[in-house]
Amino acid sequence: MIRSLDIGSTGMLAQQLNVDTISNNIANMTTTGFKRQRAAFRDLLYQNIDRPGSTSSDSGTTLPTGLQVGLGVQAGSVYRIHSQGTLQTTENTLDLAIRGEGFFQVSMPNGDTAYTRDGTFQLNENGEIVTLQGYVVDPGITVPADATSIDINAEGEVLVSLPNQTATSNVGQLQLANFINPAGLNGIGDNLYLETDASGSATTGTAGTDEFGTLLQGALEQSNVNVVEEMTELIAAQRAYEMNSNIISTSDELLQTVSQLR
Amino acid sequence: MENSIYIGLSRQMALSRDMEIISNNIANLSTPGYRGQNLVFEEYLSDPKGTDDPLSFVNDRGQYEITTPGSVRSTSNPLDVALNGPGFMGVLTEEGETVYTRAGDFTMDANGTLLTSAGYSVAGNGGGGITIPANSTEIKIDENGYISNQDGQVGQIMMVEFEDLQELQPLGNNTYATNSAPMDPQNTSMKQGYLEGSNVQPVLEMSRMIEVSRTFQQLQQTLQGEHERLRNAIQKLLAS
Repeated sequence: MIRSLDIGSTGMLAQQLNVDTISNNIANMTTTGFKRQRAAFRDLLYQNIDRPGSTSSDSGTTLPTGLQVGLGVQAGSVYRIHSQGTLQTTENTLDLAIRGEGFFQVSMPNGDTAYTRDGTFQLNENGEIVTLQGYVVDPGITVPADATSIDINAEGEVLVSLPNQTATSNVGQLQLANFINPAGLNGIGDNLYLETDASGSATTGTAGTDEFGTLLQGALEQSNVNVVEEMTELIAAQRAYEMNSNIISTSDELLQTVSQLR
Repeated sequence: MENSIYIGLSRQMALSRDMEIISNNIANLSTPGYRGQNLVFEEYLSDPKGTDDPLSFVNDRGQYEITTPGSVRSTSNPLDVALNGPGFMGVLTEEGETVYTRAGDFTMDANGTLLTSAGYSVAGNGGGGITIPANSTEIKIDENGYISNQDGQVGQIMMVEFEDLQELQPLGNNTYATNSAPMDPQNTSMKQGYLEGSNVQPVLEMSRMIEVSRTFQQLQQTLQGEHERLRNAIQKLLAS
């Protein structure tokens, strides 16, 4: 009897995690470059009461099926789905979107390299291209103070127009990074990811070559959250949560009945 | 002499086992590829006095898996696959044993090896795991389980069918093991970007749970009645 109480609580914990994940997705519906997450569940181990194949008589007949009681559910992992988000035109010069695979590289203040799909870039006081948090986009590109316009082409070349010059001059080349398993990246907030043993090490390259996507200036990648899908999942998760709480109250009723036995 | 109490007790014990199975089904309502279970009861005859009027107890004989397919939903994730048909996909455990699963929520590790959500390697058709090359951009999985990227095929997911689905024993982690030999898939196909949920029917499980709870209470009253009867009998005998 105690088993079903515990099983019900594993179910409630799992559905709680499911609701948490879904709410975070919905909350980040309009976060630039956000990739939705999903909770994966697995059934817990089974306890053998009667092992299948054990003998049921002296003449060697065996049980065709056993009696195995599962012990509930466990949350396996919460992982990101790195599908392409929709692009939104902003016409802001330093807004960049990646069409296809790849991440922008960002130098963190502590020297680490972080990765992001959020191309909302700005210039800092030195003319360097930085993220919204002020971290320098790697490789560092400095735009001259007297530049009249900045153009970033699909391959990531940063071209600026300078006064009294007809031709544009190339001030740097943005590099993209990619991972064999982007789902294994460690999200640290601020739309940034760090590489882990699961993601593999970063391979860097120029946009538009090999597997890397191309860049689009004046556009931002929206989150890949599909609200209709999240809402239906939320309803299903909430109902599953309720049903699991019903297991607990029913188990409680059974225990109450037992305690009135005398 | 308390046999009617013990008969009631045997039913109550079977009911509590049933409750455990039901709870496990409901707890796994959103586990991909999970198959609900049902308990089988049998009559257990006992004839201690050798009369032709045996007592019948209840025994929980075993459980069976509900083999209807679970609901399939679209996830648009390239590494999600759902099986259409009675088959299973092969999975390699850490010990190198092949076990089977219907849960197609696959991921990759840093080497590009295709893994289940529990971290087991997905079995390829020729034995061994499946590795997806690092520079793959468009991963396609066709209905026969062939995985291809922009350069061509990189492997095939092992798909099998079984003659008797009840021979599959659940191991946890969405996997099943069996001793019977797998057969080639005749009626099974794979669909990329979809995921099979569990086949647990909440309405059915909830009503079974109510039934368990009420039967349990009912038996309790029977036991109590029997208890009263015995006490009355003893008191009357003492008084006389």
